[in-house]
Amino acid sequence: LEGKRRARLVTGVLGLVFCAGYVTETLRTLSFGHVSQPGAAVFPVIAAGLLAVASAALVFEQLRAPAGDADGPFDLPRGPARWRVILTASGLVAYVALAPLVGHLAASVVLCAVLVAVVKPAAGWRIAVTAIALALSVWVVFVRVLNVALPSGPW
Amino acid sequence: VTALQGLTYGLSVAASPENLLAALLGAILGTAIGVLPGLGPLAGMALVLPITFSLPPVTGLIALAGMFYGAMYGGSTTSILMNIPGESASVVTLIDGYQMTRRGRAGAALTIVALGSFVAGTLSIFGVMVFSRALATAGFSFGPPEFFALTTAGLLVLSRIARGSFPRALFATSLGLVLSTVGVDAVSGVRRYDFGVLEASTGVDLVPAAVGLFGIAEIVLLVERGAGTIAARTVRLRELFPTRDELRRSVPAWARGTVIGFFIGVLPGPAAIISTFASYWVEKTVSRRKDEFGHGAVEGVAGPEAANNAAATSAFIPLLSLGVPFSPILAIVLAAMIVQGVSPGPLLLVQNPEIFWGVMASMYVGNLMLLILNLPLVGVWVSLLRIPPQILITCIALFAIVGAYSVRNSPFDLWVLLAFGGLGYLLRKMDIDMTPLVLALVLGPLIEKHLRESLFLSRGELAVFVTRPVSLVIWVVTAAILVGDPILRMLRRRRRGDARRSPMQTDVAR
Repeated sequence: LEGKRRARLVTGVLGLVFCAGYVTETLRTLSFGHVSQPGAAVFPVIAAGLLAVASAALVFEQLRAPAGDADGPFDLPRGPARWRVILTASGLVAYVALAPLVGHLAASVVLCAVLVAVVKPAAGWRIAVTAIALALSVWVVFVRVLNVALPSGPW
Repeated sequence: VTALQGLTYGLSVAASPENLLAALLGAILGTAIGVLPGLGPLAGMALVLPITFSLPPVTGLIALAGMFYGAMYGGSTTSILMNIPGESASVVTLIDGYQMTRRGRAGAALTIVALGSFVAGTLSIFGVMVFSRALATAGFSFGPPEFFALTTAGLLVLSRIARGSFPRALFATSLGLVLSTVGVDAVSGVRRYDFGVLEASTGVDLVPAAVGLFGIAEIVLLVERGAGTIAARTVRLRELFPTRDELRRSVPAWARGTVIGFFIGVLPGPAAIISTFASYWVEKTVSRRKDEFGHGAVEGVAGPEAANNAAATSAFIPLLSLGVPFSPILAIVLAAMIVQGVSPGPLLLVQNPEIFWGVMASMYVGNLMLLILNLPLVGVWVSLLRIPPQILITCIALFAIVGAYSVRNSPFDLWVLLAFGGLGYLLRKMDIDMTPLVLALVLGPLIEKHLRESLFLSRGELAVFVTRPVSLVIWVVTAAILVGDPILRMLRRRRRGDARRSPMQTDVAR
């Protein structure tokens, strides 16, 4: 199996492994109660059962399919596209990690700079000016005008 | 209260300056979201949801409803002018809409779409008023077993008709159900699967999950593809008038599209998309000019667009009358109602008539605003596509973050946003539809609640789920939908096999 089918096969297997861990945790920590007074474990076990069936069906569907990648390739990015994706993800993670520490405004300048540089590379000063202008505009609209609460940081 | 009295009362609510402004801004913002490829109505509504919390309930809901039907309209503009569907329900419109543009009839196509959307929206609003009241009255007799059957059946049917195969959709559905179990159990108060993280005990919120799955995943995909600006065509005001023949051909298509869209909209699933395809198929079947389809047939634009708008409106029926959302977009509306302290369901008409009638009447007003404003503003909408991608993508990312954080002011939700963004990216790469996952996340707690209440009330009698008439009917219909298609396919295959075998048998006999 190749392409998307192989990816779905792996997903199905991971789904089955996840179900095993989830049910183990459920049995360890939650009560089933009685049929007339069902406990907190009942619905999770039903949901996990359904996920196990769906995962097995997903695996079966891929195994039954003819060989090759008839559904198309599972195209993870390569070359410059890979770097763009990695940098975008890093920028988002950096924002989430930094925002509680330094506040939304400072963290969003970092995120904006990363995204602007990734989408359309330009001179450093242009990226910085664009990032600061965008972060400041969004901050003014949401925090000052609409009174939306955002991470304030130490200030 | 009769439907007419209700509508009059609703108009008095919708006509207040703040509600008119909310409908206008919602419709404008929705149109902008519909125009921009990649940012669909679901992610767009999730992004602005927190802003509506600071408004009175009826005003916030009017703004959200305006965004919903505004997005339906905006999506068709780019389909017609640029062969780019702004959102998934506009895919069918581009088949003949773009061909009309190539023949120099872009303005006429846009007017036919706007008029059709208005006609369908208006007729559907009356339908919603009548059917919602009837269903709400019936809803009073619903108990936990009926609601359990309805919510579970809704999810199963959606899995059956979602994009891709049944196992893929069922996988997304069950994953959503499992994720919905995270957090404090509403019945016993026990903390589940939070692994000691206090913030996780409040569960996975719909907004960061939906924005992550649809918004963040889309941003990463846009960056990966290397987004560029689009050369957009503009339309002059004098080009907007359709000919008499085009109008004459549009009217029956609007009527058929409205009926099709209205009834499909009430059902679980991607109603807007299904209704447009169904309407296109009907138009092609009944048309005397079948050869024009695919080359700029007026009916191919008028019917699907009316169906799309009617489905968007009638989708409110199960939400308003029974409190059950059958699409992720309606789940966002449900989330807004719950946060605002409004309980959708049979009692909504009694307890909050201003919300029911006000939102209904505002849809009518909003559709009128879209009709008056959007045609002259077509050039403005198209110019949105000229925004440099580095600005557009960065702004969408910031809006996503603001939307996800501000619902509960929780940094945990930002991590949820990222996690669901990554999940959405991988699911998109594998062609697994994410719609059932979002709906399962919302319906999961409802299903669990109704399941446990049913067992409490029946003292553990499992037969309660199938012995009551309404729930029995729901299960029978669901079973027919789930197993009907595979059985029909098997029978067809067998018949084809028989047909192939019979000439051979004849030869052997000879």
